[in-house]
Amino acid sequence: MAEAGKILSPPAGRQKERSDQRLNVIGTRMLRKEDPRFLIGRGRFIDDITLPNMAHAAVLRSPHAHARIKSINTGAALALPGVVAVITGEDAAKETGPLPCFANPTVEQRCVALGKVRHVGEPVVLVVADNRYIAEDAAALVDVEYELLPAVSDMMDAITSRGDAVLHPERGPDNVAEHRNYSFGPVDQEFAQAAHVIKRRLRWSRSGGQPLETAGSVASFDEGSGKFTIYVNGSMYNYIGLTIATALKVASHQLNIIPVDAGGSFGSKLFLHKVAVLAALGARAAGRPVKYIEDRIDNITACDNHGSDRIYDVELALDAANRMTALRYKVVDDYGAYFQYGLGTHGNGFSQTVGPYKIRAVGAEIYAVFTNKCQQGACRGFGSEVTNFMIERIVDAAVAELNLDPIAFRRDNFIRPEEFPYQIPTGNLYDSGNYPGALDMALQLLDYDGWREKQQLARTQGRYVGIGVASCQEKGVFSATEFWMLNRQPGFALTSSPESASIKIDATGKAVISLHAPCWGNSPETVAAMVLAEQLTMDPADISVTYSDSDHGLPGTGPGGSRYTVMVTGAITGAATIIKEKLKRVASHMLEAGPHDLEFRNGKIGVKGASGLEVSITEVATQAHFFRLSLPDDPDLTSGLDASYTYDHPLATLPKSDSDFGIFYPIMGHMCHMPVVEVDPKTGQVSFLDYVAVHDCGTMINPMTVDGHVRGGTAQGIGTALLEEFRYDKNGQLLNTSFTDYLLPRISNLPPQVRIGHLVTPSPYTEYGVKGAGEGGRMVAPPALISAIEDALRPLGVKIDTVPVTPSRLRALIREAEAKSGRGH
Amino acid sequence: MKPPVFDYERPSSLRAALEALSRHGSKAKLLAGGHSLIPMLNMRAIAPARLIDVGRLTELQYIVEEYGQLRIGALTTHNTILRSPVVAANCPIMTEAYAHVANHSIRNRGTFGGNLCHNDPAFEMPLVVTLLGATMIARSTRSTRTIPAERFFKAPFVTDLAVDEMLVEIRVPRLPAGHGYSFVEISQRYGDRALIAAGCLLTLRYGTCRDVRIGFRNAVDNVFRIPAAEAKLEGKAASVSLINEAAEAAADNIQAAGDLHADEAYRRDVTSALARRMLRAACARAGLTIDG
Amino acid sequence: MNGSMDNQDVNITVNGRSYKRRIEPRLLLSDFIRHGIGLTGTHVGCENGVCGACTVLLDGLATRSCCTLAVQADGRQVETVESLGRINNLSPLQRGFWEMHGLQCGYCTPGMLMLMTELLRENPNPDRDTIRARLNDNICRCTGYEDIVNSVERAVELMRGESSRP
Repeated sequence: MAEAGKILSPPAGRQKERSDQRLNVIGTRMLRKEDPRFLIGRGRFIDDITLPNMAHAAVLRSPHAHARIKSINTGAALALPGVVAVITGEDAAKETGPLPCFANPTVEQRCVALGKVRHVGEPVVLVVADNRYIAEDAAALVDVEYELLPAVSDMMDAITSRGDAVLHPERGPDNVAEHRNYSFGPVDQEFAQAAHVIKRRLRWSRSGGQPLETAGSVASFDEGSGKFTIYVNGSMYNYIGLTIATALKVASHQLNIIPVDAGGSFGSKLFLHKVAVLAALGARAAGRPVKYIEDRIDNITACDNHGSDRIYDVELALDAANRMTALRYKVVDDYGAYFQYGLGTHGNGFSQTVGPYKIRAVGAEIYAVFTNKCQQGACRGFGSEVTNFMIERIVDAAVAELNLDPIAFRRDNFIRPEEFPYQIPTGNLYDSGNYPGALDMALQLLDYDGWREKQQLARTQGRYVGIGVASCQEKGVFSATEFWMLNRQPGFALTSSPESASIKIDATGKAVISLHAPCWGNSPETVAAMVLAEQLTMDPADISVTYSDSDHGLPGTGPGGSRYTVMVTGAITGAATIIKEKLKRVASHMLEAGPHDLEFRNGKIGVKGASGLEVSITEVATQAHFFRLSLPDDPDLTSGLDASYTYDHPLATLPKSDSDFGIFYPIMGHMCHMPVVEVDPKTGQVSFLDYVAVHDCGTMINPMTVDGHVRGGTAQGIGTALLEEFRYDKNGQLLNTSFTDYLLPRISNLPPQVRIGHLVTPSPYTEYGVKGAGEGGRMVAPPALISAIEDALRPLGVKIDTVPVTPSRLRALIREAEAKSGRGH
Repeated sequence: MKPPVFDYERPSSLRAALEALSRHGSKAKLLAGGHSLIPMLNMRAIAPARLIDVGRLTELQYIVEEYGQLRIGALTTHNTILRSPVVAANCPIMTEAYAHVANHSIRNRGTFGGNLCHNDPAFEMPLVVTLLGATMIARSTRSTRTIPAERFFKAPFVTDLAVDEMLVEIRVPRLPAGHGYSFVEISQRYGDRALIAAGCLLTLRYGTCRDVRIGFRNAVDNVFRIPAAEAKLEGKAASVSLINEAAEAAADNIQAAGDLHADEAYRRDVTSALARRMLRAACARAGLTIDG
Repeated sequence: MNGSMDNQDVNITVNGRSYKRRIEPRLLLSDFIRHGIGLTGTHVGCENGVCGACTVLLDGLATRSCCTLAVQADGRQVETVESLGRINNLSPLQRGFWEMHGLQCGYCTPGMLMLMTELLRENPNPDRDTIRARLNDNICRCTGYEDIVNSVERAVELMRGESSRP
């Protein structure tokens, strides 16, 4: 059992580059290396890839939520001029195996449905034709006979499903994918002796990343060598890409995966197995390269990456001094038709399940259920954004019920700055933080007291103005254990989650960095170049960045879980260290000085304290490449100047038991958001009067790109809180299958300005003390905004427990509250 | 999301377009701006055999001021009307409503006639022309018909046009100077589909409201004007309580429907809230400030 | 009904260059631009006119190319992102976006640039509210829009300083 509190003997860590050194490049607002190509319209996105003689694929999407496939007549489709192949689930099953799945036992998903369809939109037939237009024409000509099965749409019904309503009968008699109980610390004891117990029921509806670019793949199959080449806008091809080879029934070295620029991901492109396998299947069948790009309907209905879909019953125990002591919750999570990441999103939540607070015990009962919907995958936060919502809502509930001050209550319950590294009841570690500092910065930036005064005045004028607060964690750098540690039996107990970088300095001193993970808009080239420039005192303009395919790739887990900047910084630092050693070694011969007497300065290597004694890196590089015989005859000293480095997770340990998961997500960022809103009680519309966002992501490599993520993540969080929801009816029909009805926020939905404050508590464990920053905005904005709306409607006694709170829902809550109080609007 | 196959022709005159319509009638669709039609084709929601592209018939792009009315060519684009000082001077409710129609890019290409003929229940212009008492001029090779707005819009997505008819002109009566007007809308995203749109017109004569027109859109189906609401104000001196009564009457008499984005109760609530706001605004514009 | 047939002759000018092609009437302008003539800078996000990623200028007016048939552009002028500037000669708008971090993944960027090109030609000195009102047309999923507004304001400054066009 892991006891919550300051860790008295903290792990030493492997940090080489300290956070408190003087930095020249890191920390500056360097303009991005990625931008020029995007600005002139020369990005390389998946649909920009064209191969000779390429054909195009479309899928016939299932119109039913749950049905057996009785027969498929492809004759008319095949007869259409321009059609190359029409592939059913049975055809596909001869050539491909099940798609990858992290759950154990696995849940079988096929790239083309086999025998049964389990959600609307699931691929039933893959059509390959000369162009996408003809492929869609042909799909419409395929005649499928279905035998309808009962559709399960309500997650509570799923728990008691029986018979034909069961999606995966081989797994059990009902639609319960998993049911687990966890107890971290003395939960029952704390509740038994609590002075107050606060309860809420909360609903987090299903939304998703929905980047502007869908998922897609271009594949070709070389029959001569039996090798597939696959372009795909996904990640993890240098990590678990070989599972796609397995699905394609080829050996892992018979597959090369080539990355492309991705038009956003927000988790949904973490691991794109289905589109890659579909394109490759099509290519093998057609004898031509095949492009398969999801259109928006394909993507919304079958992206395999819907977000968490949960109902929580949560309780909070407090002692007589109003300190939170324990948290207990039961959650039902609607996973849809498959289970690719198992309970990963709940494991993720365990990394920060007490938020920034000194809660010493946590109990959790988790139901994961199958329903006839698109499966869940990864969505910015990967489940912890929901944990944050749960925690801050119950905190607000405690504040309201016990008549406390929302600021003082948080402050009194925070983990203190001197208590780091801090172990939370699940066994995870928080590396560093200053939560009162973030709160104070937000209060000051907002002029909180000033807004409280304005709120008072507004209330006298009959206006509903509210100020929200949320103090939340942003975990960074996952350990692979989170994928399986909640399985009953681990299954494949993966524990590596490395990141690599390869650096070459050529004979003229120019550098090429190869990254082994893709660009999602997360500025990897800029970060990598800045770190290398810092390490070698080089000009970033002398550095170019490229991306390795899987044939040439080193281990690279890729962006996701707010890990990439930390990990690539570690990898670049590691590779640069090797190169620096060699540069110094060669320079020491050129300068006739010991390597220990040398330093890097302004692109040169020189003797410390002797400003005239130096050589440029270019000169050293030329020497290293071309003039071997001028250097000592030492077999360890080889020509050239390059290094690769694989940087493993800087601080992770194995789970010890079901009540101690070890250290699995320790690089802990923190946010404090304070929105000020006005609610129109008659229409349920919310407008922003102000918005302050304080973020702690440790040392910032580039504050400009951090701010970009803060604003973008906040925008997505506002969308989650007010607008976005996948709406399935009781027959499993998805009612909003296009952007007309799945509402992404426009500029008019957002605050005119998000005023950002940076608090920096460097990590003691990462290079330069960097922490993650990619997910934070979305992880705190929903509870912050709901808190503000509730505060605005406090005179009416409205309580909000559901997101999204659309105008219609908010108006219903107001109407209900008015009816209770006898007042009308 | 690619369109299904169709035949295509681009007639170079109105007469040629009408002849094409008479030949192909029910199997053809007119293509004007395309920003309602082409998304439907992309989603394969419809599969017409033929598109008749009338988008370049400049003979149907005009705004003409005549004694008593404006004549607007059916293929005039939305932005042309939005920016027209003639429209702003004579039918300011149209200019005010146009700010809510789709967005700037779509308004660059979408046409007034195309919008009216599509008659999507969330579209604003069918309500506006009905409130204005406009008249549609429809032509075919057989005849020219004059159709009052209240008979033109028959059901969601259905108008009174025969399969061989084309809407060519909309005639909008000019309202007396100083008339009161207001158009308001609630949507989840500004520029997107209205959850409820509302408009009203009235004139003040010796302190009483005359010719009161009150209507809503996307409340349900095809009912625009609410006579029961109008009756509360017609011939009476406007006051807070009368406006409230009119608003309640509106909420009671609309047939609100629930959909994906808003339930029925919401639509009723918002109907009454919007009615109050717009009636006050209309009265203020007509020169009468309502206090309280 | 016939099967698909390339039976429409068109002559479409894109970025000042004339393209004569024989195409299907149902071919979308976005596909003509991207695949017919290989200008892949214009992107497709939703194919039903909501997101604006596919925005080009058609006879100078911002137009959703996914809601336009290529035949509708016959005899007309199309401008795409490729017309704005080259790597060594970025336009003020492109420079504004670079300096003010107006893009992250870059997918919505061409549409934003074309939309703002139209605005700045109409009005070389828009205030912040005018920029924000026009930006409501297009969706960005990465930036939260604020940096895009800042980018356009920076472009206006650059244009003023250089007396140049967007």
